[in-house]
Amino acid sequence: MSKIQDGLKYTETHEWVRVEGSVAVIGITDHAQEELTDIVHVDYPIGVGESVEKGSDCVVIESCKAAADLYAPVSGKVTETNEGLADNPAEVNDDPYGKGWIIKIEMSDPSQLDVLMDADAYRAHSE
Amino acid sequence: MTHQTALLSQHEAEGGKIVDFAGWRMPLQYESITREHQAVREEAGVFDVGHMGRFFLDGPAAAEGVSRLVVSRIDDMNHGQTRYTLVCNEQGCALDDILVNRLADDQFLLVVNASNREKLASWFNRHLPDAVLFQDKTLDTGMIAVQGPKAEAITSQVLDISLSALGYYNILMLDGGVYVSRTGYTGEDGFEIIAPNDQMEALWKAVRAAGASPAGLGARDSLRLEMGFPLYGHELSEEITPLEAVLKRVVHLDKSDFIGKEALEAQLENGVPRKRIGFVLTAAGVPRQGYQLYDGDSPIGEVTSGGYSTVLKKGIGLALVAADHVKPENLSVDIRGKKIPAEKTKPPFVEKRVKV
Repeated sequence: MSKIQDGLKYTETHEWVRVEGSVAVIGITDHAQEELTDIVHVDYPIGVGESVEKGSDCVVIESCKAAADLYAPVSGKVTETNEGLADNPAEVNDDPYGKGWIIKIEMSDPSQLDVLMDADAYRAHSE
Repeated sequence: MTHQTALLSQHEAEGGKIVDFAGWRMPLQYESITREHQAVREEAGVFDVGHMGRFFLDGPAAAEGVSRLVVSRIDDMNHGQTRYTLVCNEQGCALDDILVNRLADDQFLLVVNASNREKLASWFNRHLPDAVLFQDKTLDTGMIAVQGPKAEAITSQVLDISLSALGYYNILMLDGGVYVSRTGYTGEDGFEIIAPNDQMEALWKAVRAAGASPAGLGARDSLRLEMGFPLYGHELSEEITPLEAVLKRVVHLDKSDFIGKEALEAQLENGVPRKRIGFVLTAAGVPRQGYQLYDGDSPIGEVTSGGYSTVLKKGIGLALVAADHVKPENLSVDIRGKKIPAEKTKPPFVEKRVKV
């Protein structure tokens, strides 16, 4: 059974968002990393300081099996990418809600969070 | 109809993630593809390969009959010898790549790809002389592969025989319809065991108890890719000849007639238009089947298999490229619109350690 953490916001495409002030910390859920299998590379076509639109594919997550897109759950400016994943991409598998976070976005419209699911809704969605 | 091997409930009990593969319910992975891959390279892993087709051919015309259907010589094979070869159509393109085991003068065991089993069964039935008894025993038997540096110790213990004298690409017939060959698809020393379905569960448990970790199709693919071994549907297909796949060493054009011979001779004479190469990415990224390769600005071909080498920690791949670009000066792979530099590399990408 994959883990779902309370207090986070979730998308239908299996990203999670932790709100830290005006910044959204974004990763993929435990369910998503299980589906993808072993993560071997995380590619950031959009760099720090660049803007992303909600719903756009902003990170590519490569696993043993396939390449998967991470869709931005909110619009804004990228403030940080997880450089630790360059040497240890498996952290996305081992600790998807912690060390395996993927990107931070300074939100331009925090009201976009309102349509995301809470943990209970995501639990129901994943069943 | 979906098939399952005699080991499906075993895989489920061990936490295997089950997927549909070539019409079979098979384990893709257990806990982690990477760890299963490493277990095979460092110790030993066991794979359920029961989905592979197993054809038994019997009769005085069997050797001749097989020989007409494969690109390699058969007449010079000893009893107990195994040979990698291909079945081609009249156009010289690959219908499958297979292992031929010569069990006796007039008795053969052919191991074929799961995805091609039914196609090949009808091809063999159509082209074999009537005097050859052809039996597809895939559904009555099972097959496992024990692979890795500890495979000999484990397999010897489980079968209760010494296997140190069994050479690479040789097969032994044991009692009760059990066969063991020193073959595999990982580049490590190892064995493949065929047995009747009712023995498979006990065999699997014994191999597990003797120290082999369960390994799934995911690790099987990443292990073969590190060796640069072709996989049907990728490096070989009904659009690709063995010469393009750079398997000329198994095409014996000096033997008597076989299906596809004329087409292959003609291709050799007119020039082989495309060639398979191996490459390693020199920057981060993972190549995938279908990605374009470039030599400078010129598109030269496509990735046929790609992935990530857990040993090299780099993206690796096989590709089919135009023959005039087999020595690219400035090779790159287009990964989502970015040209990632690569180096042509002759496989294996990782040292092969089979017993020679």
